[in-house]
Amino acid sequence: MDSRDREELAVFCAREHRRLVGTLTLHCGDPGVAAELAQEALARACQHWGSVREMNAPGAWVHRVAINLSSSYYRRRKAERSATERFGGRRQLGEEASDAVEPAEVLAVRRAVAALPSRQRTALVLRYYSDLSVEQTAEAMGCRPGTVKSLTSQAMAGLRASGLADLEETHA
Amino acid sequence: MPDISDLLKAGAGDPLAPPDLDRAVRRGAQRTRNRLVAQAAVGSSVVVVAAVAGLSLAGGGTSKAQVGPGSGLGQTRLLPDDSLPTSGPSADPRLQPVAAADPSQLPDGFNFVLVRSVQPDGSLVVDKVTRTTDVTAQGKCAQAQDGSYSPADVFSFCWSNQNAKLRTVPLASGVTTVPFQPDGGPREDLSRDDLGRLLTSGNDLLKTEVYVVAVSHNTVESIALAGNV
Repeated sequence: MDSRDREELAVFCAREHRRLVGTLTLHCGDPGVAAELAQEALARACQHWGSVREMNAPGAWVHRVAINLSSSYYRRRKAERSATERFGGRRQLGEEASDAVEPAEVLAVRRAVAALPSRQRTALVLRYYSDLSVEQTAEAMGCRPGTVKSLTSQAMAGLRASGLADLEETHA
Repeated sequence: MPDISDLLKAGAGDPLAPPDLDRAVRRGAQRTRNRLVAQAAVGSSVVVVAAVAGLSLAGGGTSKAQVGPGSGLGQTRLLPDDSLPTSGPSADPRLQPVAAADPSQLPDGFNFVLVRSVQPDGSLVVDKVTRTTDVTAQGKCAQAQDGSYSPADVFSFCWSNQNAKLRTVPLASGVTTVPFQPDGGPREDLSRDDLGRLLTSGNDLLKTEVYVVAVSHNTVESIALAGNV
């Protein structure tokens, strides 16, 4: 990687890092895990930077990688928790969310988002937090734009039903 | 009415720490090297053996333990060791003891150990051990060296990849005989479908946890829960 590549990569990482951590925090519910997964997603971008930099939307690509990592993390944690419970129900280290000292309203939003079905959560976060377009979100999720609209609409309904105040959809 | 974007921004918090670019570049470069090495060493177990060193376990840190004699017919266990982690999932004594009575029965590399049941003393009855013969999966094993993949990721790949082959290795005497070895030979390749049939054929006890055990020079280097089958 030459110095120009590295400069471009630094700009890309600096630009995407904050959004990635936020996206993953909402998606997996744990800021500590989110930071680690964001780092991993950026590592993948570094590994494939030659082709990533040529993409129309490299930011959307790295978000797709990040969401996939988060989904894998979810599956793995579920299996580990299931086994641990069967062996005696001891809580795993790190299961306590690392956001325990954050304000109640912040945790309330995270819990409400975490309670959404996976695809609804992904669509909502990519669309309204990561600011991806409907088309970019659809590409990241491997579905049609109409499906993204439907999923985000259902997610909004889910958030309202969870007790959050009436929400205004500003990016429709 | 609150704006959904503002609400989500509040929920996401404020990630203050800047990205660690140097670390990301190092990890990316290491991963590429590992892949190239894996591709160059097609058919060689050297790659997998090399991946054992410095393996990082998902959620539990790296554990090392000495293997002791089996506690009975078909039962295998690890003896406690001071270097075992004292916290995290691996610290649970009921999660630790997975190994073979005779470690020489475990080939170097990543072994997928299917655990049949848990004994009252915490030891696990092991049904069989498999290892991958798929080159790409071996590459993923190599990538586990720098923590870019966990053993669970490696297993998930092998499990979901139609082309991945898992090689069965018989354990010490007394361990349940593994089907698909009609001649009782030492090894036989199992396809994913074969393994799926084996795991679901009439014995619910076989549908249980799968651990990944990394072995180097007949010593169990690390153990990780890979998932449920």
